[in-house]
Amino acid sequence: MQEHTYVNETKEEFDVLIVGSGITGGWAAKEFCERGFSTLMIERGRVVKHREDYTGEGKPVWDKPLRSRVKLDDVNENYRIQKQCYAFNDATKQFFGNDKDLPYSTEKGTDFSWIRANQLGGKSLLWHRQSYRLSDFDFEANVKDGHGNDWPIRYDDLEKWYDHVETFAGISGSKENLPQLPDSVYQPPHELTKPEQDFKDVINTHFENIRPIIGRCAHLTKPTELQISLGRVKCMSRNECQKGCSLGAYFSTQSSTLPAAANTGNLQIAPNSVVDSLIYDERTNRVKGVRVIDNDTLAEREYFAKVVFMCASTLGSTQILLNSKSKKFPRGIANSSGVLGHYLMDHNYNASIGGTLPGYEDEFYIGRRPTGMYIPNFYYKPSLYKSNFVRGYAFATSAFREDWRQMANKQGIGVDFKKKLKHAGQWRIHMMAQGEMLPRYENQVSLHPDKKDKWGIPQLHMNVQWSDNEREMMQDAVEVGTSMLKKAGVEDIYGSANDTPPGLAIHEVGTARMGKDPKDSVLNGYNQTHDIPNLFVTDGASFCSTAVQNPSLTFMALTVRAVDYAAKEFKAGRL
Amino acid sequence: MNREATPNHVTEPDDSNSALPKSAPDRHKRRLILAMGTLIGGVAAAELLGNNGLAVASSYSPNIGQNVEPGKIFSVKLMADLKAICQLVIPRTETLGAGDVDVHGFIDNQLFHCYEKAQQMKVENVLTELNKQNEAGFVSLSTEQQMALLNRFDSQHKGIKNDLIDGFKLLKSLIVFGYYTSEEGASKELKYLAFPGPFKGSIPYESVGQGYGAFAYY
Repeated sequence: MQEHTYVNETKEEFDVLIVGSGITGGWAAKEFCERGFSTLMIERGRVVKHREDYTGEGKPVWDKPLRSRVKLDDVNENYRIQKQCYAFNDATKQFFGNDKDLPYSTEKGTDFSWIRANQLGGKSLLWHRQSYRLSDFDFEANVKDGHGNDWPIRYDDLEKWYDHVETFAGISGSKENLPQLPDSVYQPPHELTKPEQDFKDVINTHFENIRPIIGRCAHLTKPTELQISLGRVKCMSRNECQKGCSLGAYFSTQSSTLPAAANTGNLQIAPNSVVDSLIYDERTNRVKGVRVIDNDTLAEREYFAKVVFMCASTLGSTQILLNSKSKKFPRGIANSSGVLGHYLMDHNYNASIGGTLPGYEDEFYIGRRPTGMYIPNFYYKPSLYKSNFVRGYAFATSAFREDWRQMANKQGIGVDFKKKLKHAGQWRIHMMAQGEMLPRYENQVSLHPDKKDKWGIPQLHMNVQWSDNEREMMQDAVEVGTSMLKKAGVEDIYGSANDTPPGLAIHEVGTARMGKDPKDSVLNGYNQTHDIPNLFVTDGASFCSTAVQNPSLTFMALTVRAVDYAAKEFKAGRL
Repeated sequence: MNREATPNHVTEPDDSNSALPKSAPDRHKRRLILAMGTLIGGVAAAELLGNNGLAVASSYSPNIGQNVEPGKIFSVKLMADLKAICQLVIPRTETLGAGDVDVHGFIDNQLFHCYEKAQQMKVENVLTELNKQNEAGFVSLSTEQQMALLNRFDSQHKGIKNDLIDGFKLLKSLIVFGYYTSEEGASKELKYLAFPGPFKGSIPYESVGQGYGAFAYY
């Protein structure tokens, strides 16, 4: 990308400001730029250049004196929260926020792990790339069982936008015709291992409604000409994605949407620009721009545009809206309903089950598959609900052969021990539940009345807890998972549910929800705020329920649909 | 992009350490050098043992050097023990052993930078306990005695305090981690694929013939 793409001070009035550069912001930028809109993407963190700035990529582990671990002093001082993420290590830590600079508080008796990725590309560099459509069972769940408000959209509204983002992003997966998990536009699926294939066959035979499939992920297995033209190639199964991928084999802002947006000549980027609040014009009832504090110098500046898209992540966007107070909106901009900050949700990953698979000594695989198997929600409609909880969960699962990491604890020393560790060990299978969390008014983020961060912005205060519904669901996952493994001949089965607080699924959603009624929702069915026509929120804040599926693909689809709508409204003079 | 060529490993290791004494008397001499080295320095110890000893000592002075240097946590004496323990847990076969590739140095450094004091102490207590089994230290015991001692810990013998058992588990896990993330362990003893190519779910084990040494997460 050209250096002149980056701006600092500018008097220009853009057509569109996009706050955030992650999955959502990248898509908004691409779509607006391709429609000819002059676009400024605002990113609070530093520039991360594709390839050039993937400093952890491609280094063998032995070249690192601590072999990928991070120094304890560094962890304790800077990464007490971030270290909880499975992908945090010495080769990826540059893409995680520094906790010391990013404080937040939690209500007494509650806890929440807020994982941050404040740089160009945001969490698109760190995401787990699992990509699933929501179905009408998900969009209708709230209205059918009475938890939360009704989504103002249905599958029909999103279907063509799912097609659109999948075709561009590249999703590998298999056609399954499952009612609860609509098929995507696919590139070829990743292969199953032999024990996984057998496991799948056993489950299909013995369990009604439980249908294991290969995980759908945003990895290129058969790149299109367009993808190749953007510099993206086929996935080489390194599975070291969070270090950054110079192959562009997985979808990220850097690999995909940013080059496409930049190619139009309509994109400018303001990095190191921490948005403090939105500038509101009460006379016109429009947002005019944003107030920004420089990430490094703390200098203040403003950017102006005719339309503002909030794509700063669920909690990031919510914090900015809450902090944008005016006479008309004393509780935060576009918050006439009072629900802004409420209904925070995450997925619950607190049940895991596993064991060993006898046999298959002659079977092996090559590569580090960047996805596992996926078992879609089998309690996907009220008639399938269990009696002690509503909604359901999916399982992420995979089978693999033990290596020294699992065998290190086995008894033995000397030549025989070394011989054992030289070879792949027995097969193991592991399942992790991904449970839906109900939307609950009490689960709220708000601005702390006193505490501020180093940019002078009020800190977020989290008050979010699991309910018994989520806990019962995880117990059920242990029981059902165990019975599945038993049926498949798995031995030494273990399984348990714990009470890890919310946040670590990194699927936070729901704090500026959509809805038909402006009295109990922030956004309409096009992610446009009910209160202010030229203000949109298209990240996870807009969700009415979590569903069970990983949310990023839906962030993409909602965003491109909102851009299409906004562009038409803009041209019609209604924004 | 083509798959990166990854030759089958298990070639003969670099033989620069081949002067390591292998026969029993030489091993004894080596142990003496090591033990004395902890007290008076490697070269001085070798000199005291005469010309033959000096030749042997010089030829693997890099390892001696590592031994005589105190660690960030452990004394020179315990570092010498630790090296011996590393080599006993993962010995030299067609590939080098853990002591050969400075896993002891790695462990001292890793514990220093990445572990709490309490965990450092747990390992130190194990080393101290092993060291005090013999007046001249763990390294001066016969290989059989050393193996017997380590096996007592490894099999969690009832006579050993829980805290020492835990310490040994941590120590052993560090030896394994240090060795299989070393170049020798990850890319010679195991098969290291930097660019595996498109994932294949079912291939005969024999076509690889060894476990993998590269992982997404360590």
